[in-house]
Amino acid sequence: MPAATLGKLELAALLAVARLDDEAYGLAVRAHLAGVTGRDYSVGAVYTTLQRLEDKGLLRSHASEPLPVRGGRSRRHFSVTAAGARALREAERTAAALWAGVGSFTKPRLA
Amino acid sequence: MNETPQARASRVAPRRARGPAPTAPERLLVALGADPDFIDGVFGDFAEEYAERLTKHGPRSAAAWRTWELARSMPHLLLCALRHGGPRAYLRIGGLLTTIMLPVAVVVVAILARDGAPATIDAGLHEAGNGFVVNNLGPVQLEMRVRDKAGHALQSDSVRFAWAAGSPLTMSPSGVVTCTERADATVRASLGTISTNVDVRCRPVHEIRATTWIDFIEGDTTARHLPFEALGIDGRPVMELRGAVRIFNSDIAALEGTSIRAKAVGRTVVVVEIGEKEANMMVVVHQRVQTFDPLRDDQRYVARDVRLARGDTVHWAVPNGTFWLKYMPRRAGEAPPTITVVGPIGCTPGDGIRVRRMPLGEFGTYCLVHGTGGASVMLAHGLGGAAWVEGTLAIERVELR
Repeated sequence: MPAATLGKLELAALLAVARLDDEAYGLAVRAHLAGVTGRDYSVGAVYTTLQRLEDKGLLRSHASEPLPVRGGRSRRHFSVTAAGARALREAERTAAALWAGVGSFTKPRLA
Repeated sequence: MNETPQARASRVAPRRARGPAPTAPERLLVALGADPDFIDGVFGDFAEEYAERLTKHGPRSAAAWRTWELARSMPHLLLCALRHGGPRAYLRIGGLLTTIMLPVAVVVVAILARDGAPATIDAGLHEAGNGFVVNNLGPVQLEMRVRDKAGHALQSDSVRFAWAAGSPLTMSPSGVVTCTERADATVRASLGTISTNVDVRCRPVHEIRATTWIDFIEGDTTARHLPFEALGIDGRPVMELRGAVRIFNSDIAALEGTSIRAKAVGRTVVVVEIGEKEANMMVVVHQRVQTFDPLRDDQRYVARDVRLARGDTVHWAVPNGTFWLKYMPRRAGEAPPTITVVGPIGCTPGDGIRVRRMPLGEFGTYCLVHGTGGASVMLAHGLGGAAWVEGTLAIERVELR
């Protein structure tokens, strides 16, 4: 089965979930994305992206027990599925292929 | 990837009971079709980050963050809810927007349409100056135009009138005027604290004299004044007129104010209404033909050019049936040729073929051709008079055989 096509924010969110592992819930993913990309994505944008990835079968989620710090609400933890892992590998291969040979352009030119 | 034991436990466990009561945005999103667990996660994040910010930055900063964050998140969350809710969610949000927008629209329209207090009063744009011309012989209501500051038209029923100057006038306080003769007066119209003087020019029309026909030849597109005049009680023409002119079929001819212009072959009627009087004029646009006989059934309005030198005589066969025979000189006032009908044909007896109520200088008669044909019309120009007689002989068939 071909890997799902990923948008820029989708790829970033999927990578963040993979990186955060057991601690991958909305707030942590948002904080991680802000730290890595420098962009302050809204809670809504991050959650809709995570749900879209879940709908595509690239993530799965489960709810934690209710927590006092969350006003008695649960955390929704995300984890990468096998399809999600394939999509990440495919994205990595594509990026590598796109970058191949570009290194020489990034070197400073001599006058 | 492997699931954690906690995750597995959570997945198989029955859905937990909600802790806090859902807020209005949560209820809205769930109502639109969002997954309640998903919404719980989102608003849990809001609560958790709010608690963090409350500790670090204080309540005002935390509240400002929550408001801003909620505002910029809602479009995403609404779209997400709609996507999950499917068609029913679109119906719900449509209903919701209607519920919200309808009262807002009603309020906005009501504010825009709200009438203010009367601010101006006048005789209306259709009247010349700030006054009325009355062509009626019977009682007629003076209609004032009342507007508020915003220019909205208001009811004018409460306007009160009183004679102020000029000729004596029969008028009620509510503005019903009866003009029995030519008169010029000034009346004062008042509504609350505003008032104005208006001129009332009584020009009662006793009769409208109009010709029976207005004849055009196909291709003649010059506009002509409608041939009517309004006469007063004293029999003199009334020049200041207010009324209406209507045409029954504007495909045949078009009105341009009180002028008329031919458009296509055919016949229609123009009605002039002034005061209580009315006059009808038939408008006929004739097709130019080379012969009157034979004519097709659909050729009901036809005309031939006439050009006779001194001493010339022509005989033209005419079709069977009933028709009006009309002669129009090329230039108004020019004498017609001698016109005689020959054969099994009977025309209205009278002063030659002159018939009353033709436009000035035009001539017409009503003719009936009997039997199997053979009727003709003879046009002759004598040895005296102008070198040429030029005009048009027209047939307007009123009955087909």
